[in-house]
Amino acid sequence: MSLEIRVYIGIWLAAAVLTAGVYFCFKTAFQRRSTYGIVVYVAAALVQLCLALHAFAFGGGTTAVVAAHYGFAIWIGLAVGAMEMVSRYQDDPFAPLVSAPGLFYVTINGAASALAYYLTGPLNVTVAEPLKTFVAGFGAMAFFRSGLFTARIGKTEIPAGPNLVLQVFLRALDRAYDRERSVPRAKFVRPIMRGLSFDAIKAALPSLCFNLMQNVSADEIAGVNAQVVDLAKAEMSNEAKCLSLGLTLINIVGEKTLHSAIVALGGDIRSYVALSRETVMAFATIDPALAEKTLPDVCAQLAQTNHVRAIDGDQNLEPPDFKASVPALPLESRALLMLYKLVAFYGEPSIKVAIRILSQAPPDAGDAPNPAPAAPVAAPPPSSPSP
Amino acid sequence: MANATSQFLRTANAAIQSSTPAGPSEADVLSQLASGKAADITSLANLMGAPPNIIEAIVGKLMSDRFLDSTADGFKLSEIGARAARYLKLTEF
Repeated sequence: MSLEIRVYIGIWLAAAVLTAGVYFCFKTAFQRRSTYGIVVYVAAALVQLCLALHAFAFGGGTTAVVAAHYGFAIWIGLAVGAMEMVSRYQDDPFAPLVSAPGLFYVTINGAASALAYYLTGPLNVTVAEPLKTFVAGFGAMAFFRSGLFTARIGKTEIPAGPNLVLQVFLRALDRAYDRERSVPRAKFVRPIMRGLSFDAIKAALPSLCFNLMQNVSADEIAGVNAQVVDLAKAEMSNEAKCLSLGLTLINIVGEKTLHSAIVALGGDIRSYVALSRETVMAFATIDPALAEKTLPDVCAQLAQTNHVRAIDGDQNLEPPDFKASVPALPLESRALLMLYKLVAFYGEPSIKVAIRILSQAPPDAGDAPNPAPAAPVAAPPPSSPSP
Repeated sequence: MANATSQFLRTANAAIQSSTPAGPSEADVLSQLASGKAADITSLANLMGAPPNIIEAIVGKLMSDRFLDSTADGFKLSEIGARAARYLKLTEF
């Protein structure tokens, strides 16, 4: 390997390390991975520009010219692959470019272009070298996206040819990237959609989001409206409907717009989840002072078992302070406020179990320094409905 | 004694199960008792428009769950029942 090639490889590696360093130093500034994706590709384009300048403007020699031509061919493949990625994931278009599956797919496209340029080398074609890079770059892209014939499998017609290679990779990428994106999407949507009333947001939120955006197509709006109608009819909880609507809107308007729209709509779209009468009556059987002291602990213990979990699902999640911090309120009102907070955090069925456990405790159980292990859950009376 | 209680609860439960869906719930009966408008089964049944046997079954269940105390004349809200009635009032929406 010549010295020049080693220098070029060194430049690329240095650029990669530098970009990664910039990312980790200013990680908080990159609120979304898409920003980092743009930075990576802009940095790579600048490196290629430097290589081209070195080769053509400053007389870098034959090896530099060959490297620059390869670079251009590779860039055509990378750009086509990257554009395909950007158009596939609407909620965070540039994020796939820096995901492992996305990078792999884009690299395949770049490598295909480089291979095509290499194969044109021995051909005795009297065309200018820059034109060869274009022909090789775009030719490889066209080749891997073409179907030679249409195969009929069952009731579907599939164009078969070299395109099948990329389609296999694309399908694998779709799955891998969807799995990768599902966690951050859920983490973002859950906190901001929590506590909203589906009836209050089903018309207002999509409408405001679309008005905040300037380039949402009529088809996309119609699609969301149809989904809202389906959700309204579906037998789902208010929370599940709100989450589904939030995920649908994120696909089109993105996280920031959705967040801004919810903030703009204010308190009018917040829901009030009433406690069931059954829970209230069960809660009344416990002394409010005892409930205030011990019910959060009982719930926390229950959340560590396999059959009852905190709604947020994370076993390491630190439970908030459930005690109502309004000393001026009467004890019973404070206890009720605490019950609302516990139900919101653990879910009503878990609270019913905790209340049943606590109702077996002696009245002074909350004062004991080392309370005895909780009594086993009593069998419900014959007339009690199961939680 | 335990058998008698168990039999009573089974009867009460069967009566509640056989009641119409529009019949009063335990919480409805508690709320009426807390309002002070009725203190016996007959007046409760009249007030709530439900058959006396259904009201009797619900009252029996409330007594077994310590929401009601028996008195010489009939029944009254226990400490727990009074608290439940206050909670229900506070959470009414």
